[in-house]
Amino acid sequence: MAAVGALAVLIPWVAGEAVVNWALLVLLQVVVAQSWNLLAGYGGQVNLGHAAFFGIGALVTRGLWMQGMPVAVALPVGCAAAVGAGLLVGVPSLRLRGPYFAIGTLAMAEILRIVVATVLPEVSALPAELIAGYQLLPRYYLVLLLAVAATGAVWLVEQSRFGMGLLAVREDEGVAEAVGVDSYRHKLLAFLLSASLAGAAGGAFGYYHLSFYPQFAFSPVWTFDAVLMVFLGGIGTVWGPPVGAAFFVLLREALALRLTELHVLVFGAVFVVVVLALPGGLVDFARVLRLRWVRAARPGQA
Amino acid sequence: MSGAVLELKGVQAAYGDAQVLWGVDWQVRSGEVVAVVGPNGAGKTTTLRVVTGLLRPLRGEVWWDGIRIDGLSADQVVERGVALVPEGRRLFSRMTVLENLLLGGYAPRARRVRGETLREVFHLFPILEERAGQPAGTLSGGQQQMLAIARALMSRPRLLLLDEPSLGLAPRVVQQVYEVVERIAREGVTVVVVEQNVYPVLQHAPRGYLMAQGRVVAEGTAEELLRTELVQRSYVGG
Amino acid sequence: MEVWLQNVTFGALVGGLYGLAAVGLALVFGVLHMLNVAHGELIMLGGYTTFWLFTLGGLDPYASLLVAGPLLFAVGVALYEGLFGRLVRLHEESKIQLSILIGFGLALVLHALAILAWTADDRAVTAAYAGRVLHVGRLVVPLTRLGGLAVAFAALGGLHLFLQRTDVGRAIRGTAEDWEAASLMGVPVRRVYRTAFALGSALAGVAGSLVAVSDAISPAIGLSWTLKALIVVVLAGLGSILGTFVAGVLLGVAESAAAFALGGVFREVVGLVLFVAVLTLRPQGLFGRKL
Repeated sequence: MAAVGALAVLIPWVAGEAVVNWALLVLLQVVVAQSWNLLAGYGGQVNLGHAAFFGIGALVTRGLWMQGMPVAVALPVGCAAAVGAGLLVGVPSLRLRGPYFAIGTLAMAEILRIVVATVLPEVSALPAELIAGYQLLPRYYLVLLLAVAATGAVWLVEQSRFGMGLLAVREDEGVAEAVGVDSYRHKLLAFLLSASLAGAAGGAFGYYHLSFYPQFAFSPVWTFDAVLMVFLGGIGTVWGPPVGAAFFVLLREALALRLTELHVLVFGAVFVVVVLALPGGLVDFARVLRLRWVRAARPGQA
Repeated sequence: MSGAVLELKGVQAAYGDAQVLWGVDWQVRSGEVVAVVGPNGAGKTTTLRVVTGLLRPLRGEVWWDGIRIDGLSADQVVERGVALVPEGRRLFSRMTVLENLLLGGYAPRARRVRGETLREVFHLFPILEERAGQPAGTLSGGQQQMLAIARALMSRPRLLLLDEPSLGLAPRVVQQVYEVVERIAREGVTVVVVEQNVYPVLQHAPRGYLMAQGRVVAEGTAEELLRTELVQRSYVGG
Repeated sequence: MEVWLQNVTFGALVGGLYGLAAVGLALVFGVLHMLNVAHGELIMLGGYTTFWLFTLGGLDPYASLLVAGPLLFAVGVALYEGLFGRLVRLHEESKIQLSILIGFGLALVLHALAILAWTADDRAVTAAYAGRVLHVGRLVVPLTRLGGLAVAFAALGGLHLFLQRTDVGRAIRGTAEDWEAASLMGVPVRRVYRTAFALGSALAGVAGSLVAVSDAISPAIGLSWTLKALIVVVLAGLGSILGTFVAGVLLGVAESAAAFALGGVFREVVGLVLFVAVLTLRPQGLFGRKL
């Protein structure tokens, strides 16, 4: 784990620009995956409209930054915008039961996508001054920082009292309420935290791209890739999303897939297989393997 | 061979990680009426669920009419002549009385003679024929119990299991229910009745089992069970 | 006034199709307690079936219904056996969540497959009678839309009779209400689930055929039809075919009215807004039972 971390930090110094760009996008997806993992894995709520927060973060951050606001301000504002959207969406929809929440968020993300597609121009290109001052390195470290922060946030939640309450709500809302856990507040907080992380990732994305298609930032593929990575690695765990991301990326490179239909086709199939066969993801699979190995090493056990 | 037509040998069962049955042994001979009594949580309903195929046992065997039926699905068990009148009746309350009965005769073996069975059932329960077009949910408690029994009879069972038929019913209605059970038994159907309420069923069943905490703790004739200390302790001592 | 009435009529005709699309989804949800969010993709497949039969074989679109229905029935069986049937053993919460996720993945896969196979272009079926209209008083009613409504009526009527009068139909209804009790009656629950799922899929196929006749189809219509069906199911609530059909018509009318009064963009948005509103204010829908 430490080796991977060191590698991640050192990449810009040892590898060429193409690799750095690639690594940046991977890390970005880790952030999105962790943010989805937080709500789904710990909160038990499936948000199918997650891409909306990413998109809002991207739009707001980029818009403000292009107007001249320094990115150090624009990014948090973009993040805040995503949280604001999260409030708008979350307050009514978290009162709904699981499946209705999922399709409710899907519907709302779709509304947003249609509005964006209608209102905004197809492409957003940077003005000359910003292109001139463009540097990849700080952007890379920004995203790396976000990835660490997202993973750290999930870890912190897992250790905290808030996290315990959240897990209780995930397991059985009725029982949790009976023990005095305000399930609605817990779910809402998790939702907003999830939105903020996704919004931050979106902001970084908006900051990163030279030319940028607003509609793409709202594409359901962002949600889908995140969901896939989370399930691949292990939903509801801290290291699941990064592990899942690693596997996802390896598979993608091995099959030389880009963001085309083939990407969706292959990964859609992989996703379905993973959900059916490995509900706990690779992290859980590793745990099961380890248990079996331990059991086999002890003679005389049933 | 014990001559038993229904036999449970060492049946253990669990719901997920929680084990509920710890080795249940029953032997019921053809045509008998046997009671199974015991306090709440004794595992009586769970045992019935194992017999009817709704729950797969962890260990043990269930034999009916010479074949092993543990591990069969519920609809396969019904096809072999076992019917359950479930606890709480579980009627299809949105469907009519007639539709409930027709559905009761869904199993292929029963469907072939469904018209005839329906006539027999209406003969046994004239009130159901009267209310054939009404939604099952609009019937009174006692009528619903009759419908539940009639629905089970539609599958032409040779083993009828009843889970707490007296639940929630007035004593006079309970009497009517048990009169019907006796009539069914007289036709040669083997009957097992599970009740928490000891007294009415012990008047109708010559022998029974007392279960507690997932095991059979006593067995005997009605009088023997009535006299069993445990029974007295459970129901007199509270 | 007249334009407004024309508008409403058109909306109602479109809405009949929404109702048909929704009933398939509602059937699966009501019986299996699973939400197949790939339902729109099945509609899309039905549309393409009609398109290719028409383009390659000259088969009249209304006749191709007889192919699309059974074909999508078979697809439904395959999807049940391969995917959704594996979720049946789970308890309610996980089952619905996982079915949504699986459906999500399946939808993306089918969408991608369609693009790879047939490109993302719009396709249209222009039968000989495509442009013809019927004059009802001063209203102008496109013949194909009327045909669509008639077929939808017939299909739903047939479904109703099937569910009310046949043994399998009764078994489906009983299983929907209490699957354990149904299995105690000798109903083979897994087979019933499969039949219900395949039936839902077949209804999607028929809806898709009708869509191909009166609208353009493309791989992209999948998500939009899934959402339409979801909106109608939520609007209607569970419990009656007629209620679902009426809710579909209502959605169609609302869309037309919104587009007419507020502008084209609001056609799609109004449905989604209604959806969110009903979910938050009256979760059991307009005609449904308390969930």
